[in-house]
Amino acid sequence: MPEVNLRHLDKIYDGGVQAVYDFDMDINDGEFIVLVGPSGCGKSTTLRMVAGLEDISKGQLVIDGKDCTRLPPKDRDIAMVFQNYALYGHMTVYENMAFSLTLRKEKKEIIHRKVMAAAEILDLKTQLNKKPRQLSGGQRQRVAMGRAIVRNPKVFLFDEPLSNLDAQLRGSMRRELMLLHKKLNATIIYVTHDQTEALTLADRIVCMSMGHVQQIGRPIELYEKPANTFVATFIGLPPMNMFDGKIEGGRFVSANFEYPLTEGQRELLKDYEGKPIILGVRPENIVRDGTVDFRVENNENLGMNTLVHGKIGTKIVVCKFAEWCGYKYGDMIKVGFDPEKMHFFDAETTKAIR
Amino acid sequence: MFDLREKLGLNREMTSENIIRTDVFRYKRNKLASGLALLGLFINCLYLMLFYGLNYQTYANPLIGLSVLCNLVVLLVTFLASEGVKVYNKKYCWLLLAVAVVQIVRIFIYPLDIARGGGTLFDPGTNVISVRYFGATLGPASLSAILIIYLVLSAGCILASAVTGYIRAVQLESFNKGLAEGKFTVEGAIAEVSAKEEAAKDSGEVENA
Repeated sequence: MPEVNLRHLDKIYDGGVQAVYDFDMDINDGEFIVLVGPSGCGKSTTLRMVAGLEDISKGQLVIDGKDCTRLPPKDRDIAMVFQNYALYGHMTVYENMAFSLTLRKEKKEIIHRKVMAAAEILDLKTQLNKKPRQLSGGQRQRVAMGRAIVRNPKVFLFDEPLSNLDAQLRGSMRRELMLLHKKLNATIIYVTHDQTEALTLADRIVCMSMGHVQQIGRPIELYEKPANTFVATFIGLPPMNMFDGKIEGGRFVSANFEYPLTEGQRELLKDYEGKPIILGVRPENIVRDGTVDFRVENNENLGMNTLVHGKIGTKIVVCKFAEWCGYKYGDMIKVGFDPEKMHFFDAETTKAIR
Repeated sequence: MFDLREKLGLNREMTSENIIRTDVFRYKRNKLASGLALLGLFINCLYLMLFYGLNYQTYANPLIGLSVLCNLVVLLVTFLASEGVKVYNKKYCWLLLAVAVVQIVRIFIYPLDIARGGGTLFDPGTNVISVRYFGATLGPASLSAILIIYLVLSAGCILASAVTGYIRAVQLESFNKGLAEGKFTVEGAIAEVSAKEEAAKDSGEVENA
């Protein structure tokens, strides 16, 4: 499997609208890269530029050492799986999977072996004679993947492939995708707006917003060391609680509460004395032991944990406790923050303070 | 000794390559046989378009009704049989064979009569055979020649369709039987061919080195 190098890619549409700004990264052999971000952040545009479905306005795309910036899609040796499957309704599953190879005029026997191998991987052997309309959404998506697999491309591109599936099916397809990646050891670029998919599937995540890359890193890095407030609030469910405040005398002081800082935090924030900063705490890092007053509004018992929604002063906050909780509306509890898991951001730049 | 069944591939040995080749039939329709039958049907349409372009008085007798009926039957049966052979049904091959024979027999009815200048099926004294075809006026000789060509081509396509359909149907039948009896497996065949290819590739690499 080859390397893919995206060098300072820009996408500017004819009307002057810029969708992608300076996208720069190197994707290693067999790496699973997930582009994640809200709608309109430029992730699909980036993927389409790699596929050749969108022109690259500036920058260079190199696949396996070959400059593909101006190469037509058919010559890039990549395969793309779309959200809406894009299967041929009049063809059987077998014919759909064999179609690209038939166009290449490969021998029937070779086509057959490749299709059967892909069908085996995707557990589609019993569905090969069916038409797409006779299949479930998950099976259709697997056929779309099979169509990509048989081509044995240099790079697989997935554009929100699981978005059309229900939650349960999405879960099982996620597992299948992980296994598929292990089996094929393929280089995959995967676009999604679902952070669960991003966190579970990716070797590295590219978090995007408004056409800019916000952070590139391993899922754990994005989760535990978000580069800015956007990544901090986008990655993680429920999102991170953010508190505006400032540092005063070794304490974090906000309109709603004050919180003592540890020695290490004071050292880290020594240049921010008196300056506005943002404190971020994930719901699961709020503990039921502390000095901050928390007024419960409602409980969401999820079985293995409980989401407790409420307010600290006037600020809406979500806590995630590992136990089953029976709080009622209006209950007051004392909470604190895990000092190792408190995140501080510069209020001006929104960047993490490290 | 010459063995027709062997030559036609009806008795072929189930090597790994043949297993893979035949396994394809389970997932792909017999478009070759079906396409040939439809081509024969199309050529038959060309035949009847030319034939019914004749001056309506030429064959103004009850036999023309039979001709129309015959054409309708040929069109219908050929179309139905083309769908049958598409799914490797042997019975439809015999039907196609019968249609091919009918097409050959038809050569000896109107086209032959026209070639002779009439006399058998119409009175040559009262009618002159001529037809406008692609801007040219055809006389009896050229008209009968074209009609015969159409019928021969149509019969040829339908016959080829029947033969192809029959061969593939028999191959698939024996493949399914072997599979059911556990004489071979597709996975085994694929693995064997892949291993052979890998070995060939490796030896090629060694030679190149």
